[in-house]
Amino acid sequence: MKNTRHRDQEGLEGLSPDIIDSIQEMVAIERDQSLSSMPTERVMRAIKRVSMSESTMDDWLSHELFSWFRPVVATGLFVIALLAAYNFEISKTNDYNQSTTEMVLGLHPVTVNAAYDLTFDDH
Amino acid sequence: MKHRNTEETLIHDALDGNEDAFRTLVERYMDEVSRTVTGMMGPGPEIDDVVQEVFIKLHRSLSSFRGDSSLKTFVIRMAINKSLDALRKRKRTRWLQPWGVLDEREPVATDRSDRNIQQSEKSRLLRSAVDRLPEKQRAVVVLRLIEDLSTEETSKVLGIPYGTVLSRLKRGVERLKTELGDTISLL
Repeated sequence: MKNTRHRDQEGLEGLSPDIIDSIQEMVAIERDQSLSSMPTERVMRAIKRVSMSESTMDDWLSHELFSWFRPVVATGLFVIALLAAYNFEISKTNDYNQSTTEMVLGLHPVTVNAAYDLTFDDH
Repeated sequence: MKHRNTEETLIHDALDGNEDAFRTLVERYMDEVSRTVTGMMGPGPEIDDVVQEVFIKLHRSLSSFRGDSSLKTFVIRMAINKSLDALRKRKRTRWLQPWGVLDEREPVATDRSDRNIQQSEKSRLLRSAVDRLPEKQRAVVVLRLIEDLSTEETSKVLGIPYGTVLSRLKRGVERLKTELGDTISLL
């Protein structure tokens, strides 16, 4: 467990090798006390558990996205087509020079005459 | 070179979904990871979980390993980062705990002979000296003293310049010497 390779002494001047050995020994003891038995097996089990739950989540998400995609797109296109038809219909029934927006909002058409007309509607 | 090739093969096989290849990688780096995590955090029940998280992260990010550095550097970097995360979490939890519930970690010695009591006292002093180091200095001290990495390797693991490793190590060692004083030699 203990590292046996030659130690790089750079920056360690003044620290006795005994202290370094004692720190390594302390960590080895602490590690043996803290780590449960068969750590590799625990890790492998955890990885399997995590990847299983992740793949289940991925499957669920992709299934939901695919199942909702077509109806949402179809409904969206239908609504857009309805709006386009409505706008087209309104623009056909416009007898005087009024834009669709002005018509929908009930505004007077903005023309040169209207701009110079100083009469105001009395509400 | 053979070791490196074997490692590349193992990584390749693990990426292809070979469980045994990844198990071999876990076995190969279990010592380094558990030593680094324990060195950073001290003894405690979280060690198991943090070690586990390091390998789960390795499993997830193995595909992003480009081989610029060694896998050992890659894994130890993850161990340091996960330990720092866990230390911050521990700090938050302790801050929220009522004072009476705070647990004092103490090295366990089952046999209370004189020698063991002495060993236990020595470990307690060393641990409290290491724990008092600021996180950045502690990471350098753990990698240089406990993991026995060279200054160059430490700089690669932490992603900091060579000179920064040396200055943090110098300050860390000075602090350790001040904290420990003559007490260790007396024990």
